[in-house]
Amino acid sequence: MNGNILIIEDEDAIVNVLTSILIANEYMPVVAKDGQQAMMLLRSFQPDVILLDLGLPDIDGKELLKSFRQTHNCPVLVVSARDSEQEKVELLDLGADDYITKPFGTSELLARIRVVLRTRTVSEDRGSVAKNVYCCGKLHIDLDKHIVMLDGERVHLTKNELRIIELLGHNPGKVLTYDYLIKNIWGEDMPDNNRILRVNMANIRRKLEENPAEPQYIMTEIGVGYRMADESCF
Amino acid sequence: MTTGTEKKRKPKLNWIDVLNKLVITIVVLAIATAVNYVVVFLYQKTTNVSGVFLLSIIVISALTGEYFWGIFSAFYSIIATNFFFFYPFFAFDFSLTGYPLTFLVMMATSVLTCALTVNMHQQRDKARWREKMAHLMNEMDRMLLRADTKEEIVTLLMENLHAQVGRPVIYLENENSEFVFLQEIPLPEDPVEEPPKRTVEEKYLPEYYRNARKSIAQRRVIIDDLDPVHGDGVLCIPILWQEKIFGTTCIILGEDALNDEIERFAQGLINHFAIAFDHQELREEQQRILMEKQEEQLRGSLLRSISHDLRTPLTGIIGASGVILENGTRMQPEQQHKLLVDINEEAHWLLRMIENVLSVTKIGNRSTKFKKMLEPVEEVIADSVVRCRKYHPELKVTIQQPDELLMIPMDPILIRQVVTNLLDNAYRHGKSDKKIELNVVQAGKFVEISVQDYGSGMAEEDLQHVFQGLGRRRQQDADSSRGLGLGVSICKTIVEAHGGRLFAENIEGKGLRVTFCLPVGEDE
Repeated sequence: MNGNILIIEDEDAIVNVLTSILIANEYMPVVAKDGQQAMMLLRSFQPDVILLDLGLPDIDGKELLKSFRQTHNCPVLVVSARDSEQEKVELLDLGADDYITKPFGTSELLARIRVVLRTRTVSEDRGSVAKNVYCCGKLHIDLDKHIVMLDGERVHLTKNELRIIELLGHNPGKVLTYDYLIKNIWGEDMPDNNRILRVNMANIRRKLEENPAEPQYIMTEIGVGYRMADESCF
Repeated sequence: MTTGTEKKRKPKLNWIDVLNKLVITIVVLAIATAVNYVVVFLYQKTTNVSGVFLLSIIVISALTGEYFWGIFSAFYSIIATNFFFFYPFFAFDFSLTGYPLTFLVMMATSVLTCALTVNMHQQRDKARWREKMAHLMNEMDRMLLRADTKEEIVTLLMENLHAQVGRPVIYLENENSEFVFLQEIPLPEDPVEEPPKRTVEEKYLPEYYRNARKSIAQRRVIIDDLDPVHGDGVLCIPILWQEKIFGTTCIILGEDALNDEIERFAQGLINHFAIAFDHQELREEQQRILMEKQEEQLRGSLLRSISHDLRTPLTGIIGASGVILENGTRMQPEQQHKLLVDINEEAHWLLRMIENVLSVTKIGNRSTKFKKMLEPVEEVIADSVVRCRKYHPELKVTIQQPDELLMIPMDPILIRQVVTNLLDNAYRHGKSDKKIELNVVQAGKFVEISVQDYGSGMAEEDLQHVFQGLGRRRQQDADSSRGLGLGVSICKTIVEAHGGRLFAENIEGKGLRVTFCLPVGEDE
């Protein structure tokens, strides 16, 4: 078994699809049809990942997410039909690990589940040396020694560029919002404009990517943030 | 002849003028005296003397156009007649019988002749002036017909004003009490053939600003005070029409003031242009109303397109899934697989259409502005390609863009929608092995993004229909081009809502190229 997955979703058609995909890929799914059931199952079932649909009959998905986060550390992947960038940012800020928009493909869903599962494992055993290296294609980042290598050669990055790429490298496959990046690198009192981040990112891409127009390592989630390519992507 | 440029330096020119007229007067009077002398000497008769002098007075008045020279000639004639042609010759004798009468008659005749000729002179000048003005105004009206934008009108005004006044002129636009647009025509010494420079020399700027500000500030307070403001070497004339201010023109005078006629003309010209500005504003207003109407139509046509475009794939989905449900296990696995692939493709297509429709609802109407942010063009383009590859994994595209980071104000999701749609169209309609080309170019105040395919292009008629009109292609091939009309009209709506433009052209030897441009926006 790859892990226990709690599906919080009220629509039968979607539940059918999700459970069949998950079972076929050796996950163990359990379904909650409303918020109350979800809170109960969360305690008894001990899921490894939660798939949360936002439109529930008894409670707003965001409220549910907030109450999860007060008690549990379990990774949450939000499944939503609402395609607003602002909402995505809000969800990530509330503590969701990732989101996926309906309709989604099977492979996309499985990839996201793998990412949230792994990110959690990594953050749980922080300190183990082997985990503090990010490798993807020709890019190799040593997160402890602060060294970025591309195709065996060291890449010279400015201090801020290095901090951006390390933050992203610590969370491969996960979207980090513009706000999160700016606050972590330039501090809280940075004026509300992400131009500086964009300029830094453009510079990083020119140093790392073969063709900045078609980035391989750092993807943009338009209107939300940046996502470092997942290690399993190659 | 008095033209604008001759008169502008009035004090200096006057002396030469006076000298000229003096010479004319002396020459004419000398000739008259000589003629008389010859006549009197030959025939010993003095009957023609006053006639010849009278003629000379008329000639002088006509040539100089001023009373002074006429009266001066009259005096001379009377004195000369007495001195040269009556006994005692070469001496005065005021006791001649009837002399006071002769004097009076001669004087009255001279003054009258002078008055008549001078008046004629002035009338002719005025007529010429009026004719010239009428001609100019006509010419300008003709040019104004071709001027669509405010900027074009301003350029025309500046050029004409400069040509007539012969001084550098500046145009100040007062938008929200800030001057945002400055235009200057260089001094007349510059060769005429050169296109007028539109730079403001630093040394002029502070003074202009002060004067122009004063002028406009005063305009604000007393709106019906139409007098121009004279200030340190600058004449500021507001462009006013029916209590609306369209800006201020400043004429740099330096030490020489304009003469009244030229100033009146300048005022007239500016008033004339004020009307043009007003018309232009009205036209814009009309255009806006028309646009709103078109938007309504677009929405209507969108709804029609949607219902048609969505019905087709839905029919496919319902049909195929129905066949599988009914026949179930009796079906060949390959056949079933084929139907399932169809269902999947149709569903994806539906999804893309719905995304398109959603993006239009985001724009809503023009009056409610959607949120624009400064976004890097390269990120939006990269994401569009990634998105498009999700549907078309075989999509081949080469991207060319400038090295420097271009950030322009936009709603990135909507622009991504546009690029994705264009790529999707290029992929589906430009069936070719050659890669699609995506180019980003900065062209002045715009960034141009073009998608070029290597397909067979599009018939001109269809181009017109799809890219300029609102609807889809001709009905008979509606199915082959399904979604094209809808997709393009959505792209157009999005681009235009950003203040840009979308157009398509067939490129010889390549295929269809669809380009859209977005304004770079104000620099921060």
